[in-house]
Amino acid sequence: MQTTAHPGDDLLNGWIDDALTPGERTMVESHLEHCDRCRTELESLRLVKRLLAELPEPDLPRSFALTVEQAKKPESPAATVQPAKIVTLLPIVRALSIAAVMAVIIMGGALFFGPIGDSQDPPEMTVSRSAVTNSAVDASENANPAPIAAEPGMVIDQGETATNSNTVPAAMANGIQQVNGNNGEERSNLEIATIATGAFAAIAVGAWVSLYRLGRNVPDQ
Amino acid sequence: MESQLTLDPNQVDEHLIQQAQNGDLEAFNELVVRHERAVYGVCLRLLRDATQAEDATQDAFIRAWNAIGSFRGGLVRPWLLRIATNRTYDLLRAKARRPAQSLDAQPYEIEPDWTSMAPVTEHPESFVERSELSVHLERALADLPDDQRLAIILSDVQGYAYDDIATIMDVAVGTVKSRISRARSRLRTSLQENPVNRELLLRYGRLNRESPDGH
Repeated sequence: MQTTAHPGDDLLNGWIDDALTPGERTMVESHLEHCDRCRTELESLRLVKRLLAELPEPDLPRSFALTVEQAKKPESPAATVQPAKIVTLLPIVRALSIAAVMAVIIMGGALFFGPIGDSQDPPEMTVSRSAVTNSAVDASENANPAPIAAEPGMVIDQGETATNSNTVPAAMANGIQQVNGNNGEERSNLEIATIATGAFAAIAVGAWVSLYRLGRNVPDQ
Repeated sequence: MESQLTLDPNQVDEHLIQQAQNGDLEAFNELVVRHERAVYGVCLRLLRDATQAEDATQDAFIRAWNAIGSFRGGLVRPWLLRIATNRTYDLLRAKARRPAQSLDAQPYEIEPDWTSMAPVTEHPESFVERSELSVHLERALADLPDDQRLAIILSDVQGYAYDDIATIMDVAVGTVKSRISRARSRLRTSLQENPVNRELLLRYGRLNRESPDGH
């Protein structure tokens, strides 16, 4: 084994910390066997490590246990960004939702009062498309609780006046069937339109409810 | 809590952190009590400013509580130390940007307090030597560059392995290794520069030669 070169502090410190490769270790150890200088060196480094290990931890100035007040604040940067985002998107969400509710009302009114024939098809398309938009909005964003609470109520109120019944959309469908019951072809069209409107109304109400919940939950987290 | 005395401290930590993750503040505060000395000690030795170290420690625990959901297993103390040292590094960088304040901001002298550690198992003379040396060692530590200081504190004062230090400091193991080596050599050199300390070190070495060092 060649032991001419002194290992140097890196290897000696590595030996102390047991962080050498087997090859390095053998080299250092065989050198140490006959080099007093490196043994002294190693010993002094080991003493430093030992002294450091024996340093007492400084006294605590006080307890760092969190008070309820300190534990309450979720104002980390990550948490503050989200409500800000919600606030900027609120007008869009609100406008979309109002449009959706208006569509339901108009659709409901048209189904009930108007002599509906072929004109049903385009609204049906519009309905399903805006329903998709609305549920996408629901999935991705949150909204403010106050206006949300009011508007599902609006949908139900309108439905009730229109159908003189208690539930939407089943009652709406019944009412429509009673009025237009004698025309077979129109009825099937009507049924499709009614189901679509009912489904849309359900989605709209569901969207509002989940938006309302999310809007409530965000500040509490 | 008597049954916990027989448990591995890491298991106790694990149990407490699970409770804390379910929103139990008391469990979290038990973790604080278990680790605050170490966290504060590292902050103080890095910052050399008692007030800043106090703020950094409190801030670290608040951050840890807010980020408790992001704890993904492993040991609790390295996780806490990582949060605390990130915060401390921010403060060190801010300090470096306004060096004008260094005139009135005298580096805080850590006076090792040995009263809590009764030297029953130690040779009385060795105890005196050690006490003297540690005062100088704290000063020499203060003179190290921040990165070397943190590495050597985590390794030799806190007793962490290179891998853990690499995780806490977010650097490669090779970097940790060289920082520790340079720091330890510099500390040794500063102790030996002073003839009194060199003599103390020699005597301390002689007195402790026979005692095993775990290697």
